Amino acid sequence: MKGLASLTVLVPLAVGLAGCIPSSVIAPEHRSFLIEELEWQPAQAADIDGVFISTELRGPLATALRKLVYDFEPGGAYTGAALFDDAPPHFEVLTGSWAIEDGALVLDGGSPARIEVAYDGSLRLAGEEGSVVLRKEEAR
Amino acid sequence: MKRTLSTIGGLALGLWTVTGLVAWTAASKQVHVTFQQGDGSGVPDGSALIADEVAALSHDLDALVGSLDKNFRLVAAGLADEGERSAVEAARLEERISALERDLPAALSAREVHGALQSALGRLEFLAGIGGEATSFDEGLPVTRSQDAVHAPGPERARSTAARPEATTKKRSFLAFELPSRDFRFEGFQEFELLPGLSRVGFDAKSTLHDFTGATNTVSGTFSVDLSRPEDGVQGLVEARAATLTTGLAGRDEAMLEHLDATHHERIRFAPTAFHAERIDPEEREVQGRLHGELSIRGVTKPVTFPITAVVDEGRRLLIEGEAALLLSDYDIPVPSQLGMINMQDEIRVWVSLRARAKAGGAQ
Repeated sequence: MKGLASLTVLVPLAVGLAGCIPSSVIAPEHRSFLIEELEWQPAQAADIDGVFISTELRGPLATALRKLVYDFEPGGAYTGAALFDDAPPHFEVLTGSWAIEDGALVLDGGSPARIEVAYDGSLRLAGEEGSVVLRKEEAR
Repeated sequence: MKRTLSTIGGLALGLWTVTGLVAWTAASKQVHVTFQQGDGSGVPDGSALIADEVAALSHDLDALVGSLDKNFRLVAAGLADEGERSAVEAARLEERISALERDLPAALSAREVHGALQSALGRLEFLAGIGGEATSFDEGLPVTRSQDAVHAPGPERARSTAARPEATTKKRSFLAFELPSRDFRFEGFQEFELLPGLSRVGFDAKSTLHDFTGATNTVSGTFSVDLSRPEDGVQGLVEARAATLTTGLAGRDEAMLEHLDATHHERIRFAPTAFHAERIDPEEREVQGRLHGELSIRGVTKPVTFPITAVVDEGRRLLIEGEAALLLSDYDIPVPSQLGMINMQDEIRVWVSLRARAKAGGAQ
Protein backbone atom coordinates (compact mmCIF):
# COMPACT_ATOMS: atom_id res chain seq x y z
CA MET A 1 0.00 0.00 0.00
CA LYS A 2 2.87 2.28 0.90
CA GLY A 3 4.75 1.33 -2.32
CA LEU A 4 1.69 2.10 -4.39
CA ALA A 5 1.54 5.51 -2.78
CA SER A 6 5.16 6.10 -3.63
CA LEU A 7 4.54 5.14 -7.23
CA THR A 8 1.65 7.49 -7.52
CA VAL A 9 3.99 10.28 -6.49
CA LEU A 10 7.15 9.27 -8.36
CA VAL A 11 5.67 8.33 -11.72
CA PRO A 12 3.99 11.68 -12.32
CA LEU A 13 7.16 13.34 -11.07
CA ALA A 14 9.29 11.43 -13.55
CA VAL A 15 6.85 12.16 -16.35
CA GLY A 16 6.85 15.82 -15.38
CA LEU A 17 10.62 15.97 -15.29
CA ALA A 18 10.84 14.28 -18.67
CA GLY A 19 8.69 17.01 -20.04
CA CYS A 20 10.88 19.70 -18.48
CA ILE A 21 14.22 18.43 -19.73
CA PRO A 22 14.55 18.87 -23.50
CA SER A 23 16.23 16.24 -25.67
CA SER A 24 19.82 17.06 -26.47
CA VAL A 25 20.18 14.71 -29.42
CA ILE A 26 22.05 16.18 -32.38
CA ALA A 27 19.98 15.82 -35.52
CA PRO A 28 21.66 13.67 -38.19
CA GLU A 29 21.89 16.59 -40.58
CA HIS A 30 23.87 18.55 -37.98
CA ARG A 31 26.38 15.85 -37.14
CA SER A 32 28.95 16.92 -39.69
CA PHE A 33 30.89 20.13 -39.33
CA LEU A 34 29.32 22.74 -41.50
CA ILE A 35 31.55 24.92 -43.61
CA GLU A 36 30.40 28.45 -42.85
CA GLU A 37 28.69 30.02 -45.82
CA LEU A 38 29.01 33.80 -45.88
CA GLU A 39 27.04 36.31 -47.89
CA TRP A 40 29.09 37.86 -50.63
CA GLN A 41 28.99 41.07 -52.61
CA PRO A 42 31.28 42.48 -55.31
CA ALA A 43 34.55 43.75 -53.86
CA GLN A 44 36.09 47.16 -54.43
CA ALA A 45 39.78 48.00 -54.57
CA ALA A 46 39.56 49.35 -51.02
CA ASP A 47 38.56 45.90 -49.77
CA ILE A 48 41.82 44.42 -51.02
CA ASP A 49 44.21 45.64 -48.38
CA GLY A 50 45.96 43.56 -45.75
CA VAL A 51 46.88 39.97 -45.03
CA PHE A 52 44.48 37.20 -46.04
CA ILE A 53 44.67 33.51 -45.20
CA SER A 54 42.63 30.79 -46.90
CA THR A 55 39.94 29.02 -44.89
CA GLU A 56 38.30 27.05 -47.67
CA LEU A 57 39.55 25.80 -51.02
CA ARG A 58 37.12 24.36 -53.54
CA GLY A 59 37.35 22.83 -56.96
CA PRO A 60 40.33 21.22 -58.68
CA LEU A 61 42.76 23.60 -56.97
CA ALA A 62 41.81 22.01 -53.63
CA THR A 63 43.55 18.84 -54.80
CA ALA A 64 46.85 20.65 -55.20
CA LEU A 65 46.83 23.26 -52.42
CA ARG A 66 46.56 23.15 -48.65
CA LYS A 67 46.86 26.81 -47.75
CA LEU A 68 47.19 30.22 -49.36
CA VAL A 69 48.37 33.50 -47.86
CA TYR A 70 48.34 36.90 -49.60
CA ASP A 71 49.49 40.30 -48.49
CA PHE A 72 47.90 42.97 -50.68
CA GLU A 73 49.36 46.47 -50.47
CA PRO A 74 47.15 49.47 -51.32
CA GLY A 75 49.61 50.65 -53.96
CA GLY A 76 48.98 47.60 -56.13
CA ALA A 77 51.82 45.34 -54.98
CA TYR A 78 51.29 41.96 -53.41
CA THR A 79 53.15 38.92 -52.17
CA GLY A 80 51.71 35.45 -51.76
CA ALA A 81 52.64 32.04 -50.42
CA ALA A 82 51.03 28.74 -51.34
CA LEU A 83 51.43 25.48 -49.46
CA PHE A 84 51.31 22.72 -52.05
CA ASP A 85 49.94 19.32 -51.12
CA ASP A 86 52.83 17.30 -52.47
CA ALA A 87 54.90 14.55 -50.96
CA PRO A 88 56.52 16.22 -49.13
CA PRO A 89 54.47 19.45 -48.93
CA HIS A 90 56.28 22.60 -49.99
CA PHE A 91 55.78 26.37 -50.11
CA GLU A 92 56.02 28.56 -53.16
CA VAL A 93 56.33 32.30 -52.75
CA LEU A 94 55.91 35.04 -55.30
CA THR A 95 55.55 38.80 -55.52
CA GLY A 96 53.92 40.95 -58.13
CA SER A 97 51.21 43.47 -58.80
CA TRP A 98 47.44 43.38 -58.55
CA ALA A 99 44.75 45.42 -60.20
CA ILE A 100 40.99 45.54 -60.45
CA GLU A 101 39.91 45.34 -64.08
CA ASP A 102 36.22 45.28 -64.97
CA GLY A 103 35.37 44.25 -61.43
CA ALA A 104 37.78 41.29 -61.47
CA LEU A 105 41.07 40.85 -59.66
CA VAL A 106 44.04 40.44 -61.98
CA LEU A 107 47.34 39.25 -60.54
CA ASP A 108 50.41 40.00 -62.64
CA GLY A 109 48.32 40.43 -65.76
CA GLY A 110 47.06 36.84 -65.58
CA SER A 111 43.58 35.37 -65.74
CA PRO A 112 40.97 37.59 -64.09
CA ALA A 113 39.39 36.27 -60.89
CA ARG A 114 35.91 37.07 -59.72
CA ILE A 115 36.35 38.75 -56.35
CA GLU A 116 33.76 39.23 -53.65
CA VAL A 117 33.84 40.47 -50.08
CA ALA A 118 31.88 39.43 -46.99
CA TYR A 119 30.75 41.51 -44.04
CA ASP A 120 33.79 40.47 -41.98
CA GLY A 121 36.28 41.48 -44.67
CA SER A 122 36.79 37.97 -46.02
CA LEU A 123 37.47 37.72 -49.73
CA ARG A 124 36.35 35.04 -52.15
CA LEU A 125 38.32 34.57 -55.36
CA ALA A 126 36.88 32.36 -58.07
CA GLY A 127 38.28 31.31 -61.40
CA GLU A 128 38.61 28.40 -63.78
CA GLU A 129 40.43 26.20 -61.27
CA GLY A 130 37.98 26.67 -58.38
CA SER A 131 37.44 29.15 -55.60
CA VAL A 132 39.19 30.30 -52.44
CA VAL A 133 37.80 31.93 -49.31
CA LEU A 134 40.40 34.14 -47.63
CA ARG A 135 39.90 35.40 -44.09
CA LYS A 136 41.32 38.82 -43.35
CA GLU A 137 43.97 38.72 -40.65
CA GLU A 138 44.58 41.59 -38.30
CA ALA A 139 48.18 42.74 -38.07
CA ARG A 140 49.69 42.02 -34.65
CA MET B 1 169.70 70.33 -103.14
CA LYS B 2 169.32 67.08 -104.94
CA ARG B 3 172.18 65.58 -102.92
CA THR B 4 170.61 66.83 -99.66
CA LEU B 5 167.25 65.19 -100.46
CA SER B 6 169.02 61.89 -101.26
CA THR B 7 170.83 62.03 -97.96
CA ILE B 8 167.61 62.72 -96.01
CA GLY B 9 165.82 59.88 -97.85
CA GLY B 10 168.66 57.50 -97.00
CA LEU B 11 168.62 58.50 -93.35
CA ALA B 12 164.82 58.10 -93.15
CA LEU B 13 164.98 54.66 -94.69
CA GLY B 14 167.67 53.64 -92.23
CA LEU B 15 165.63 55.03 -89.32
CA TRP B 16 162.52 53.14 -90.45
CA THR B 17 164.50 49.93 -90.69
CA VAL B 18 166.00 50.36 -87.22
CA THR B 19 162.56 51.20 -85.71
CA GLY B 20 161.09 48.09 -87.32
CA LEU B 21 163.83 45.91 -85.85
CA VAL B 22 163.33 47.39 -82.37
CA ALA B 23 159.51 46.83 -82.55
CA TRP B 24 159.96 43.27 -83.71
CA THR B 25 162.33 42.55 -80.88
CA ALA B 26 159.95 44.03 -78.28
CA ALA B 27 156.88 42.14 -79.64
CA SER B 28 158.77 38.87 -79.79
CA LYS B 29 159.38 39.15 -76.04
CA GLN B 30 155.58 39.50 -75.27
CA VAL B 31 154.15 36.78 -77.51
CA HIS B 32 154.74 33.04 -76.90
CA VAL B 33 153.42 30.61 -79.43
CA THR B 34 153.32 26.95 -78.40
CA PHE B 35 152.53 24.04 -80.70
CA GLN B 36 151.61 20.65 -79.14
CA GLN B 37 149.73 17.39 -80.03
CA GLY B 38 145.90 17.56 -79.25
CA ASP B 39 144.64 15.05 -76.54
CA GLY B 40 140.91 16.01 -76.01
CA SER B 41 141.60 18.33 -73.07
CA GLY B 42 142.00 22.00 -73.13
CA VAL B 43 140.67 23.72 -76.18
CA PRO B 44 137.85 21.57 -77.79
CA ASP B 45 138.39 20.14 -81.10
CA GLY B 46 135.70 21.08 -83.71
CA SER B 47 135.56 17.66 -85.27
CA ALA B 48 135.19 16.10 -81.86
CA LEU B 49 132.20 18.43 -81.11
CA ILE B 50 130.53 17.45 -84.33
CA ALA B 51 131.15 13.81 -83.61
CA ASP B 52 129.58 14.20 -80.14
CA GLU B 53 126.58 15.99 -81.61
CA VAL B 54 126.05 13.23 -84.14
CA ALA B 55 126.38 10.61 -81.42
CA ALA B 56 123.73 12.39 -79.27
CA LEU B 57 121.37 12.64 -82.20
CA SER B 58 121.87 9.00 -82.94
CA HIS B 59 121.09 8.13 -79.32
CA ASP B 60 117.91 10.25 -79.33
CA LEU B 61 116.86 8.69 -82.59
CA ASP B 62 117.31 5.23 -81.12
CA ALA B 63 115.23 6.22 -78.09
CA LEU B 64 112.50 7.68 -80.34
CA VAL B 65 112.39 4.56 -82.41
CA GLY B 66 112.16 2.45 -79.25
CA SER B 67 109.34 4.62 -77.88
CA LEU B 68 107.44 4.56 -81.16
CA ASP B 69 107.72 0.83 -81.25
CA LYS B 70 106.35 0.54 -77.73
CA ASN B 71 103.46 2.93 -78.47
CA PHE B 72 102.64 1.12 -81.68
CA ARG B 73 102.44 -2.11 -79.68
CA LEU B 74 100.07 -0.47 -77.15
CA VAL B 75 97.86 0.94 -79.93
CA ALA B 76 97.76 -2.43 -81.56
CA ALA B 77 96.77 -4.09 -78.29
CA GLY B 78 94.04 -1.47 -77.69
CA LEU B 79 92.67 -1.92 -81.17
CA ALA B 80 92.59 -5.63 -80.64
CA ASP B 81 90.61 -5.24 -77.37
CA GLU B 82 88.22 -2.77 -78.97
CA GLY B 83 87.72 -5.17 -81.81
CA GLU B 84 86.81 -7.93 -79.40
CA ARG B 85 84.36 -5.69 -77.56
CA SER B 86 82.80 -4.56 -80.81
CA ALA B 87 82.43 -8.15 -81.83
CA VAL B 88 80.66 -9.00 -78.55
CA GLU B 89 78.39 -5.94 -78.85
CA ALA B 90 77.61 -6.81 -82.42
CA ALA B 91 76.71 -10.33 -81.36
CA ARG B 92 74.44 -8.96 -78.63
CA LEU B 93 72.75 -6.56 -81.02
CA GLU B 94 72.26 -9.37 -83.46
CA GLU B 95 70.58 -11.47 -80.77
CA ARG B 96 68.35 -8.55 -79.78
CA ILE B 97 67.35 -7.90 -83.36
CA SER B 98 66.53 -11.56 -83.73
CA ALA B 99 64.39 -11.46 -80.57
CA LEU B 100 62.59 -8.33 -81.79
CA GLU B 101 61.96 -9.98 -85.13
CA ARG B 102 60.47 -12.95 -83.28
CA ASP B 103 58.26 -10.66 -81.11
CA LEU B 104 57.20 -8.36 -83.90
CA PRO B 105 54.21 -10.41 -85.10
CA ALA B 106 52.87 -10.71 -81.53
CA ALA B 107 53.32 -6.95 -80.97
CA LEU B 108 51.50 -6.13 -84.18
CA SER B 109 48.73 -8.45 -83.15
CA ALA B 110 48.50 -6.82 -79.70
CA ARG B 111 48.34 -3.42 -81.34
CA GLU B 112 45.44 -4.57 -83.44
CA VAL B 113 43.69 -5.88 -80.31
CA HIS B 114 44.37 -2.57 -78.54
CA GLY B 115 42.82 -0.70 -81.41
CA ALA B 116 39.80 -2.95 -81.32
CA LEU B 117 39.46 -2.41 -77.58
CA GLN B 118 39.68 1.35 -78.01
CA SER B 119 36.98 1.17 -80.60
CA ALA B 120 34.82 -0.97 -78.34
CA LEU B 121 35.41 1.47 -75.49
CA GLY B 122 34.24 4.33 -77.66
CA ARG B 123 31.09 2.40 -78.53
CA LEU B 124 30.49 1.69 -74.85
CA GLU B 125 30.85 5.37 -74.03
CA PHE B 126 28.40 6.22 -76.74
CA LEU B 127 25.94 3.59 -75.51
CA ALA B 128 26.44 4.80 -71.96
CA GLY B 129 25.35 8.28 -72.98
CA ILE B 130 22.19 6.89 -74.58
CA GLY B 131 21.52 4.59 -71.62
CA GLY B 132 21.70 7.49 -69.15
CA GLU B 133 18.96 9.34 -71.00
CA ALA B 134 16.83 6.27 -71.48
CA THR B 135 16.78 5.40 -67.79
CA SER B 136 16.37 8.91 -66.47
CA PHE B 137 13.00 7.98 -64.96
CA ASP B 138 14.93 6.09 -62.31
CA GLU B 139 16.41 9.30 -60.94
CA GLY B 140 15.43 9.98 -57.38
CA LEU B 141 14.85 6.35 -56.54
CA PRO B 142 17.27 4.53 -54.30
CA VAL B 143 19.56 2.49 -56.49
CA THR B 144 20.67 -0.85 -55.15
CA ARG B 145 22.77 -3.24 -57.12
CA SER B 146 24.23 -6.57 -56.40
CA GLN B 147 27.92 -7.05 -55.89
CA ASP B 148 28.27 -8.50 -59.37
CA ALA B 149 26.51 -5.57 -60.90
CA VAL B 150 28.87 -3.17 -59.23
CA HIS B 151 31.92 -4.95 -60.62
CA ALA B 152 30.50 -5.54 -64.06
CA PRO B 153 32.36 -3.56 -66.73
CA GLY B 154 29.32 -1.41 -67.35
CA PRO B 155 28.93 2.04 -68.80
CA GLU B 156 29.80 3.83 -65.54
CA ARG B 157 33.18 2.18 -65.34
CA ALA B 158 33.85 2.88 -68.99
CA ARG B 159 32.97 6.54 -68.50
CA SER B 160 35.04 6.90 -65.40
CA THR B 161 38.04 5.29 -67.02
CA ALA B 162 37.77 7.61 -69.97
CA ALA B 163 37.47 10.60 -67.63
CA ARG B 164 40.50 9.70 -65.54
CA PRO B 165 42.89 12.65 -65.51
CA GLU B 166 46.27 11.67 -66.89
CA ALA B 167 48.19 14.88 -67.40
CA THR B 168 49.95 16.51 -64.50
CA THR B 169 51.33 19.48 -66.34
CA LYS B 170 51.31 22.82 -64.58
CA LYS B 171 49.39 25.86 -65.67
CA ARG B 172 49.34 29.39 -64.33
CA SER B 173 46.08 29.91 -62.43
CA PHE B 174 44.06 32.96 -61.51
CA LEU B 175 45.84 32.78 -58.13
CA ALA B 176 49.10 33.63 -59.96
CA PHE B 177 50.57 30.30 -58.87
CA GLU B 178 51.14 27.48 -61.32
CA LEU B 179 48.82 24.60 -60.49
CA PRO B 180 48.94 21.01 -61.77
CA SER B 181 46.08 20.04 -64.01
CA ARG B 182 45.19 16.99 -61.88
CA ASP B 183 41.92 16.74 -59.98
CA PHE B 184 40.57 14.34 -57.37
CA ARG B 185 41.03 10.73 -58.46
CA PHE B 186 38.06 8.45 -57.85
CA GLU B 187 39.78 5.43 -59.34
CA GLY B 188 42.78 3.70 -57.92
CA PHE B 189 43.92 2.63 -54.48
CA GLN B 190 44.54 5.73 -52.37
CA GLU B 191 45.44 6.47 -48.78
CA PHE B 192 43.16 8.92 -46.97
CA GLU B 193 43.92 10.87 -43.81
CA LEU B 194 41.17 12.04 -41.47
CA LEU B 195 40.85 15.77 -40.86
CA PRO B 196 40.26 16.07 -37.10
CA GLY B 197 39.00 19.63 -37.34
CA LEU B 198 36.22 18.53 -39.68
CA SER B 199 35.44 15.06 -38.27
CA ARG B 200 33.18 13.97 -35.46
CA VAL B 201 32.03 10.66 -33.98
CA GLY B 202 29.33 10.16 -31.38
CA PHE B 203 26.38 8.18 -30.10
CA ASP B 204 22.70 8.79 -29.47
CA ALA B 205 21.27 7.27 -26.30
CA LYS B 206 17.79 7.01 -24.84
CA SER B 207 16.97 7.28 -21.16
CA THR B 208 13.86 7.53 -19.08
CA LEU B 209 13.92 11.28 -18.80
CA HIS B 210 15.23 12.33 -22.19
CA ASP B 211 17.49 11.36 -25.07
CA PHE B 212 20.97 12.75 -25.48
CA THR B 213 24.04 12.69 -27.70
CA GLY B 214 27.66 12.21 -26.74
CA ALA B 215 30.27 13.26 -29.30
CA THR B 216 33.90 14.16 -29.87
CA ASN B 217 35.95 15.61 -32.69
CA THR B 218 39.20 14.21 -31.33
CA VAL B 219 39.33 11.72 -34.15
CA SER B 220 42.35 10.63 -36.13
CA GLY B 221 43.41 7.86 -38.45
CA THR B 222 44.09 6.80 -41.99
CA PHE B 223 42.61 4.26 -44.34
CA SER B 224 43.25 3.00 -47.84
CA VAL B 225 40.65 2.13 -50.43
CA ASP B 226 39.91 2.26 -54.15
CA LEU B 227 36.65 4.20 -54.22
CA SER B 228 35.77 2.77 -57.62
CA ARG B 229 36.32 -0.78 -56.34
CA PRO B 230 35.94 -0.65 -52.54
CA GLU B 231 35.24 -4.35 -52.34
CA ASP B 232 38.82 -5.00 -53.40
CA GLY B 233 39.79 -4.13 -49.86
CA VAL B 234 39.77 -1.42 -47.25
CA GLN B 235 42.43 -1.11 -44.58
CA GLY B 236 43.15 1.36 -41.84
CA LEU B 237 42.40 2.46 -38.33
CA VAL B 238 40.17 5.21 -36.93
CA GLU B 239 40.61 6.26 -33.33
CA ALA B 240 38.73 8.55 -30.94
CA ARG B 241 39.84 9.57 -27.48
CA ALA B 242 37.20 8.30 -25.04
CA ALA B 243 37.98 10.99 -22.46
CA THR B 244 36.99 13.74 -24.90
CA LEU B 245 33.42 12.47 -25.34
CA THR B 246 30.95 15.01 -24.03
CA THR B 247 27.18 15.03 -23.66
CA GLY B 248 26.75 18.63 -22.58
CA LEU B 249 26.19 17.83 -18.89
CA ALA B 250 29.27 17.68 -16.66
CA GLY B 251 27.78 15.21 -14.19
CA ARG B 252 26.61 12.89 -16.92
CA ASP B 253 30.01 13.09 -18.66
CA GLU B 254 31.72 12.07 -15.43
CA ALA B 255 29.49 9.02 -15.05
CA MET B 256 29.90 8.13 -18.74
CA LEU B 257 33.68 8.20 -18.61
CA GLU B 258 33.57 6.09 -15.46
CA HIS B 259 31.41 3.51 -17.24
CA LEU B 260 33.74 3.55 -20.23
CA ASP B 261 36.73 3.19 -17.91
CA ALA B 262 38.38 5.88 -20.02
CA THR B 263 41.36 6.03 -17.71
CA HIS B 264 42.43 2.51 -18.62
CA HIS B 265 40.97 2.35 -22.13
CA GLU B 266 41.83 5.74 -23.62
CA ARG B 267 41.04 4.93 -27.23
CA ILE B 268 37.91 3.78 -28.98
CA ARG B 269 39.12 2.10 -32.16
CA PHE B 270 37.55 0.96 -35.39
CA ALA B 271 39.51 -1.14 -37.89
CA PRO B 272 37.71 -1.64 -41.21
CA THR B 273 37.99 -5.14 -42.66
CA ALA B 274 35.70 -5.23 -45.69
CA PHE B 275 33.22 -3.20 -47.70
CA HIS B 276 30.09 -4.44 -49.40
CA ALA B 277 29.17 -1.89 -52.04
CA GLU B 278 25.56 -1.17 -52.84
CA ARG B 279 26.06 1.83 -55.07
CA ILE B 280 29.12 3.24 -56.80
CA ASP B 281 28.71 6.44 -58.80
CA PRO B 282 31.97 7.73 -60.28
CA GLU B 283 30.17 10.63 -61.91
CA GLU B 284 28.78 11.87 -58.60
CA ARG B 285 31.88 10.59 -56.80
CA GLU B 286 29.72 8.75 -54.32
CA VAL B 287 29.80 5.30 -52.74
CA GLN B 288 27.18 3.63 -50.59
CA GLY B 289 27.39 0.30 -48.85
CA ARG B 290 28.09 -1.55 -45.67
CA LEU B 291 31.44 -1.18 -43.98
CA HIS B 292 32.48 -4.12 -41.85
CA GLY B 293 35.09 -3.87 -39.16
CA GLU B 294 36.19 -4.46 -35.61
CA LEU B 295 35.10 -1.96 -32.96
CA SER B 296 37.04 -1.83 -29.69
CA ILE B 297 35.49 -0.13 -26.64
CA ARG B 298 36.60 -0.56 -23.06
CA GLY B 299 39.02 -3.28 -24.08
CA VAL B 300 36.36 -5.40 -25.78
CA THR B 301 36.49 -5.93 -29.55
CA LYS B 302 33.39 -6.93 -31.51
CA PRO B 303 32.57 -7.05 -35.21
CA VAL B 304 30.26 -4.28 -36.35
CA THR B 305 28.73 -3.19 -39.64
CA PHE B 306 28.10 0.45 -40.53
CA PRO B 307 25.83 1.33 -43.44
CA ILE B 308 27.73 4.33 -44.82
CA THR B 309 27.70 6.91 -47.55
CA ALA B 310 30.96 8.37 -48.82
CA VAL B 311 30.93 11.36 -51.13
CA VAL B 312 33.58 13.76 -52.36
CA ASP B 313 32.73 17.34 -51.42
CA GLU B 314 33.60 20.58 -53.22
CA GLY B 315 36.82 20.84 -51.25
CA ARG B 316 37.90 17.46 -52.68
CA ARG B 317 37.50 15.89 -49.24
CA LEU B 318 35.83 12.55 -48.70
CA LEU B 319 32.81 12.95 -46.41
CA ILE B 320 31.88 9.64 -44.75
CA GLU B 321 28.64 9.36 -42.81
CA GLY B 322 27.06 6.31 -41.23
CA GLU B 323 25.60 4.86 -38.09
CA ALA B 324 24.95 1.52 -36.46
CA ALA B 325 23.21 0.20 -33.36
CA LEU B 326 25.11 -1.63 -30.66
CA LEU B 327 24.46 -2.86 -27.15
CA LEU B 328 26.46 -1.47 -24.25
CA SER B 329 26.33 -4.87 -22.61
CA ASP B 330 28.20 -6.40 -25.60
CA TYR B 331 31.20 -4.29 -24.59
CA ASP B 332 30.85 -4.94 -20.84
CA ILE B 333 29.74 -1.35 -20.28
CA PRO B 334 27.43 -1.07 -17.25
CA VAL B 335 24.10 0.43 -18.31
CA PRO B 336 23.63 3.61 -16.27
CA SER B 337 20.67 3.71 -13.87
CA GLN B 338 19.74 6.27 -11.25
CA LEU B 339 17.64 5.18 -8.27
CA GLY B 340 16.31 2.32 -10.34
CA MET B 341 13.89 4.70 -12.03
CA ILE B 342 15.91 6.78 -14.44
CA ASN B 343 17.36 4.17 -16.74
CA MET B 344 19.37 4.39 -19.90
CA GLN B 345 18.59 1.89 -22.65
CA ASP B 346 21.17 -0.78 -23.40
CA GLU B 347 21.03 -0.02 -27.13
CA ILE B 348 22.73 3.08 -28.44
CA ARG B 349 23.31 4.31 -31.99
CA VAL B 350 26.92 5.01 -32.82
CA TRP B 351 27.48 7.42 -35.71
CA VAL B 352 30.39 8.85 -37.62
CA SER B 353 30.75 12.00 -39.70
CA LEU B 354 34.29 12.02 -41.00
CA ARG B 355 36.13 14.12 -43.53
CA ALA B 356 39.31 12.78 -45.03
CA ARG B 357 41.76 14.00 -47.63
CA ALA B 358 43.64 11.84 -50.09
CA LYS B 359 47.28 11.91 -49.07
CA ALA B 360 49.71 13.26 -51.60
CA GLY B 361 51.78 10.37 -52.84
CA GLY B 362 49.32 7.94 -51.26
CA ALA B 363 48.12 6.59 -54.57
CA GLN B 364 49.25 3.06 -55.42
